[in-house]
Amino acid sequence: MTDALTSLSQHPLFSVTVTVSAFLLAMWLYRRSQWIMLQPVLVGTLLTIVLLRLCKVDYATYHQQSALLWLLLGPATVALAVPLYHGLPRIRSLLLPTMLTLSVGTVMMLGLTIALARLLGADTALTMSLAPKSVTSPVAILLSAQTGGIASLTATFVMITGVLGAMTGPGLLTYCGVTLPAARGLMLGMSAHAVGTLQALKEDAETGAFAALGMSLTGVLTALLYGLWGTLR
Amino acid sequence: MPVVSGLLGLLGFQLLGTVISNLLLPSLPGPIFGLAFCLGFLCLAGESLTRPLEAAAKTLLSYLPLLMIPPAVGLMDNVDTLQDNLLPISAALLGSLLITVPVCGWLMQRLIRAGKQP
Repeated sequence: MTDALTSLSQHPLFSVTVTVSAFLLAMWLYRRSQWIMLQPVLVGTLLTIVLLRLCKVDYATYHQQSALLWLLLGPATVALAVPLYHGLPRIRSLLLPTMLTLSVGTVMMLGLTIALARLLGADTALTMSLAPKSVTSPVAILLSAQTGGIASLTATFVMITGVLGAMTGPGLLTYCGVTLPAARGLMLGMSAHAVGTLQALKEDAETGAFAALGMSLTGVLTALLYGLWGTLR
Repeated sequence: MPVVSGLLGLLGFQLLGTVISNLLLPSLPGPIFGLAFCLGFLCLAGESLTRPLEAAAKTLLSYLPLLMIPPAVGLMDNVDTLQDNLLPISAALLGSLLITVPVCGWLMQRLIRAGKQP
């Protein structure tokens, strides 16, 4: 009996099967509850970890077996060009405010994250894992791995940031008198990527469109900053 | 079939991006170059060429949460790091968010209103 279980958990498709099952269960829970805390990635990840622990599969084995899913992150990054393309007509009239705010915001977010982490004693690997936390996940993971961060930590921080940003963003913006849909949307997408974009879509279409734009442009801008920094170093 | 031919397009842009990244600027990841090429293509090409790309992108992006699970599962090897660094992690995550969002939201609103008043 134990042998049968072992051979099952060592099968190359075992990890993909566990991940897909956990994902579907997490999606179902999220749709039923509509609760922003129950982000499918967060719940799906915890479920996957529990299942792997139960079947005594370690992360090295899981990593190797789930290569199929890892490989799709690249094309998913390229696919972000499509929402960006659809948002282009909207920023044409607000080009200057959008680009200025995005540049200031991206530098500020990166700077504050790195400074706060450093001041409170985080080491380089942890700081570099935290730095791209506001960037959409496929891009954040690339940037983190490239600068000595830990991809799995970054994936977790990106998720937590999305939930925090989507929960606090709308209230914070209202409290500070930010009422224009373009400004609210851009901030939600910039600070909380896809989760913030979903939250913005609940306000109205204009807010949602600017959030999608904020999300993809923040990803590109942060990658450019990293590239510039990497070249100058 | 449009999803599959669109996927081929996305893969092509990514591979092209990787080549360019390796040749010119290794510090900028290949998929980011791929994204830029894909955006350029969408702006220039006709609808019959862009429709498959849009279909593939829509499908792939709707499964983004699934693709994010494998990286995040690595958490099981990093629980100690999280526990030992709770203060810097929560301060960095919350602090940067609570300062940047109101400041830049206000900035954007000011800039839009300034642009509208001649």
